[in-house]
Amino acid sequence: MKNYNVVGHSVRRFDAVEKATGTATFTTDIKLPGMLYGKVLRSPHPHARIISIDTTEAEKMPGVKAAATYKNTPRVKYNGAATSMITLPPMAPVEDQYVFDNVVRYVGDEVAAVAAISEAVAEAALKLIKVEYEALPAVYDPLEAVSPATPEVHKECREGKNISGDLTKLNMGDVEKGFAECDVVIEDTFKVPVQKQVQMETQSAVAQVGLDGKITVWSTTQAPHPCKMILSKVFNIPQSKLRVLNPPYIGGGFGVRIGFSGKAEPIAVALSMLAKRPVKVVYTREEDFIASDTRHAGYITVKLGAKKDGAFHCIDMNATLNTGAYASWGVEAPAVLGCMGLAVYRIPNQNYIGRSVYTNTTPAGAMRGFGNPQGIFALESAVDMIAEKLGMDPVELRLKNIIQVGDPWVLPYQCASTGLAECIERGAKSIGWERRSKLNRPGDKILRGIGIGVGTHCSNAWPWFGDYSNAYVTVHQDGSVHLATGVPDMGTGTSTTLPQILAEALGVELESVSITFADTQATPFEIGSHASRTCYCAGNAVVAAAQDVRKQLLDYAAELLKVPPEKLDIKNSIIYIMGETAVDCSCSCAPVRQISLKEIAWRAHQQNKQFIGVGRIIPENAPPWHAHLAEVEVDTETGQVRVIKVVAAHDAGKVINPVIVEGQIQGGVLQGVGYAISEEIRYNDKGKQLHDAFHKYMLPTAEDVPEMEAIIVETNEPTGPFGAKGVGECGMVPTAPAITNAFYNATGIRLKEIPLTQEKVFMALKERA
Amino acid sequence: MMEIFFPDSLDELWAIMSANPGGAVMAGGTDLLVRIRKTGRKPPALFCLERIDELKQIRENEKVIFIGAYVTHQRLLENLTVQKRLRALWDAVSVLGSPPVRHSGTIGGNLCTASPAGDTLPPLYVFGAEVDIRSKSNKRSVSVAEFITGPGRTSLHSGEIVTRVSIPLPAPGTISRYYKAGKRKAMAITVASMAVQAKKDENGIIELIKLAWGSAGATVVTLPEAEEFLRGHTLSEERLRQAGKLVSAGVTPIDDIRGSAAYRRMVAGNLLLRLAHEN
Repeated sequence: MKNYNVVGHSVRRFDAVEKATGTATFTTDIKLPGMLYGKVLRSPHPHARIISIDTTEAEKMPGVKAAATYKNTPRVKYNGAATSMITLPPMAPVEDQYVFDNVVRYVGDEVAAVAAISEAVAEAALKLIKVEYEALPAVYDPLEAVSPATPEVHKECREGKNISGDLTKLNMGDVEKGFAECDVVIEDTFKVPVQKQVQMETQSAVAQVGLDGKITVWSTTQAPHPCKMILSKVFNIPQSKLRVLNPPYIGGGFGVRIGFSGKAEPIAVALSMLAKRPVKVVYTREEDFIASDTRHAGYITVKLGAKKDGAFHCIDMNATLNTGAYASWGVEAPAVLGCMGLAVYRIPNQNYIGRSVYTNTTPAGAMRGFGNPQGIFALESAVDMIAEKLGMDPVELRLKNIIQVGDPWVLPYQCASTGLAECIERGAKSIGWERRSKLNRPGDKILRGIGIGVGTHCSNAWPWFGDYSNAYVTVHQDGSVHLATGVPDMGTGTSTTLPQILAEALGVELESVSITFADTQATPFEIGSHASRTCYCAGNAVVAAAQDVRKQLLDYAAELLKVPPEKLDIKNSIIYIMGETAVDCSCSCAPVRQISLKEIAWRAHQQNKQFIGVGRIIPENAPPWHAHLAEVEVDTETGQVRVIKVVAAHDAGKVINPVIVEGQIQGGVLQGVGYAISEEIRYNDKGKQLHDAFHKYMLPTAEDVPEMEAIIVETNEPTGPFGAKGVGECGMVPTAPAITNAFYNATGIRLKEIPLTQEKVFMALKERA
Repeated sequence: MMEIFFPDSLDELWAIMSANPGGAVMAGGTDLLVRIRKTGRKPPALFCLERIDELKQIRENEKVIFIGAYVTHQRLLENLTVQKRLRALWDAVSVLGSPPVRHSGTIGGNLCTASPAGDTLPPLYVFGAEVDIRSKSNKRSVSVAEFITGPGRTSLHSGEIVTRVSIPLPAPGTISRYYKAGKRKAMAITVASMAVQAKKDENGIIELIKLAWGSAGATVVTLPEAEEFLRGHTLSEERLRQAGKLVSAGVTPIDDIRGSAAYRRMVAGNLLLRLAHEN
């Protein structure tokens, strides 16, 4: 693979010093003169109609400046997820919620909000709001919610009772005929839990309504431009008068705010309009747990058939996901689940139906992997099950069946690169696959096992959804270069990797590049960070903008150096004639054979000219590939499962910054470990979330981190910037099945429901004994 | 508003306590502050013990170690006598909370919280620890079992504080351990735990055995019948398994978000099986 000057190097992150010294600014740090604090009254009922609501006493309380309810806020239906702004015809987005409504649909649903001079006053005022509810019947399980006897969470469901938006149907070949031709068929249903993003910074926004009608919103959104568009729709304000920006950092996201940050933005804006003062809304951790999007829980059924020689021949999958009280990304999660589940293996006959179902639980939306980890848990469990039935080694079976470049698949774009076979082989070597099934002796109380899971993902949402990218590159009068892009940096390293791409594409030194990001007023339209798209899409726009400005520079330099522009190149911020050695010569002794960016920018300035590049791209799409191998330990006396080691081998195309990519992989692996063995939000019979705090929701702690090894398998993806593909979500995708397959290898017990909590494991071991 | 006091001596503490009735004693705050935040009920005053040197001493003679009430879990973890001769207590503090909690929380605080899941309590039971209590005008000592009277309840009277814990040092050759089943390795409230102190003779016959379970009842659970069943026998897997049945029948755990009573019963019995592998 080609060597580059800046790309492919683990340069120090642009935000490293700020973050390490605690000076980086986040939404929660914003403080404006006269700023008020907003607090939200939330529903104690899972489903109820508000008969009456009276804020009079709350508003009389000293220090209270405004109270908002469904009566004095816009009656405009919206969907706070960016899907409402990027869904393409003939599909239509599901818009099913108001800022406040007179019906509440889950415990935690927004009833009213108060703005006051302090959080304490606002909280005290909430207690003075009188609400009379009429309780309505509630439903919590998605399979129950589609049955005739259960209550309707929303009325407008065109595909059937409580079904949110459209179904996803994918088909290739002939499934009925296909199964008839199979020698071996397995079928099973798997259950996946509610997982929470638990990003470090809770949902937050500060809104300031100017006297001129302009509104500025500092917030934690990971999609500032779509957030601006949804606010514009809800509050009927021209997009040009709305500015949404990150300050400039976000304390993580993992998908929880691709659009609105819960309701932090619309509630801050509504209160600010009423109070005519800036208002800050910061969710408590409990609010974040119960009242902002989770990962979709649900049921996935896989029927997989193979020929005697192990060749997969037919698959039928279906998924019913629980999207909770509002759709959010409910239509898209089962779509990604199906698309990615069917894209891993070469299977001539395929069928998939996916749906999301409304229930009276916290809304589910986007979370790292976006449906894919759910589907891959089911699929990769099924692959191990059929391997056993075929009497084949799971690694060998996967290598035989994985998609190769050129294979037909259900996705609407080509597979132009895959390093999956190498991922599997190197991962298996590193974990010591040959030790598998030889780790335990009879009578052992601690059982060990090794397992594998593989998968793929996307590098953006095109062509299922609107997806395009823009970037500006400006050469300043001293030759330094500025990049403006609308994507955020939610910890993913965007503010470093995009300057790396610019420096490489333009031929300038990284030190001369600066970046403005995540500000709708200072940057052109961008979707934002989701679908593992940021580096791939925004990176391609940066390359396009760099090429644009480079052409301007070379044309200008060509006249000065009296050579055709095709003979010129830029390296280390110096424009030189190709074939002649570029030397740093600032004296005037030699004939002008080269010119620095600094010099040319100043000359241009003196001739009333600036070099400004614009990049506009519509992305292709590309599959990243990954194989995870896990070793686990099961304590048969307590049921405790410990993950000892995870090897994560990833094909992310050309890696722009290896350390950032390794960090992304490790973070995803750890989230996957939690998904597999400990994280879940369950409900009591009154619809109350039982795991609503850090000490109840079992995130892995620093002490639970297993040994992790990230293996980077570089391929050259022709559609990506310098060959890069998406990677952000991938560490999460195949971790759970690698662990559950290792658990099976250790115990011989196939648990079809995650997480593998100690009690569940203990009871399963006991049942078998 | 809460007034916060940092007395430098016990005499100063007594004066402040009598001048501020209704105040709460704080020895680390890893439970107290969480509780205040959760309930919103603030005591009028906090009496912080961290500047009273007398409460931070660890002293020992040949027979007993005296641990001041304000000794943090981290200091216990680093103490060589605890490491070598009170292994069950050392095991317990090594899995208690997390490193930050261990640097802040204290043995006196863990006792006074009196949680059925408190990690130091089962070891203190099996070691037969004594709790030294003082007030302005009185001194007394009670066994740890007498000290803890129920979940979150102790025999402390108003105006009294725990000043130190005295633990008799086990005879050489005694083994002790603490086993914990939690839902993760740190920041995990115990789902079931067991402390043991045992001494075998040269033939491996149990001469002395003390057992105590955490998160298995309203307070720490002891089961003399299980101890009796094991005394005079070697710790064979079979013997332990039978004793485990007594344990499962004898403990009285509850169902909660972390685990069912049925699971806790079985695990409480199973933790006994670990003794088969200890020497």
